[in-house]
Amino acid sequence: MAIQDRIEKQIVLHADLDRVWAAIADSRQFGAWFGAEFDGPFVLGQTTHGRIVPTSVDAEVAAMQEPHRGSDLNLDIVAIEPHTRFAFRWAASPDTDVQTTVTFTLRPHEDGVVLIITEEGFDELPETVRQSTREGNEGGWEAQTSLIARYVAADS
Amino acid sequence: MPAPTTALSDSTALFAALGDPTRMALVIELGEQGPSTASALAVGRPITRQAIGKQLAVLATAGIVVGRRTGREQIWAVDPVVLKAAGSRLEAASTAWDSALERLRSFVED
Repeated sequence: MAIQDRIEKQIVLHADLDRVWAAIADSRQFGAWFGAEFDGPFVLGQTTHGRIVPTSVDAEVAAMQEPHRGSDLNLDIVAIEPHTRFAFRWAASPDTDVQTTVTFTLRPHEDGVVLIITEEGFDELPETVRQSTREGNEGGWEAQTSLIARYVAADS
Repeated sequence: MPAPTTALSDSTALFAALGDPTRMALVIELGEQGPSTASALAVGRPITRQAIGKQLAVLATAGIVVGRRTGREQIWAVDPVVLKAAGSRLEAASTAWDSALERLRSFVED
């Protein structure tokens, strides 16, 4: 059985490359659509600290985000290649230290910009499970959930 | 994307069952290789078929695997219902990205 350990999404945005790049790489603009506010800009090799603040773009989503207002959202910036690639690492879920890597890849398109988003690193979770097992720590439950999820996702 | 905690995270029996390296390995093998018998699972392991059978019984009690008797031996398989629920983590992340991308589209396509 093949194992799914990454998420990939691709869309065409009808806007110019400058506009899309700024919406992703400018922490203030990113926060506006994503639903977050950050203490500073995204800087390569640094952690940008922030928190969930309901999005200004979609009232329905904003209402869903409201209960999570103020929750930590910290991004470790691992790639900034203007107009091409932006990537960060973050906690795979609010209750685990395991991080996944999210990458935004941009490509010019006749109608605008092709944007591909990937989230990967779910396959690092089994190592965390092994560590927690070795240390006799039962706190690896969340990681185990995710490990199982890989097999399920591949099966469905 | 940070996903809501799944309903399974408080399922103590399930995760206690998976907290043992041998049982975890059995679940992974059944997941990757498909349904199997205790004899087949014992191949390449330093434990007996009987010991494997005991571990599978623990997993069955937790609802992680199901056994079906055919002839002399049970065929064991990962229970798809339980694992379906556990799969909500990745599904939630995927759905959340769909939603986030639509917000990005609204934001840049004005």
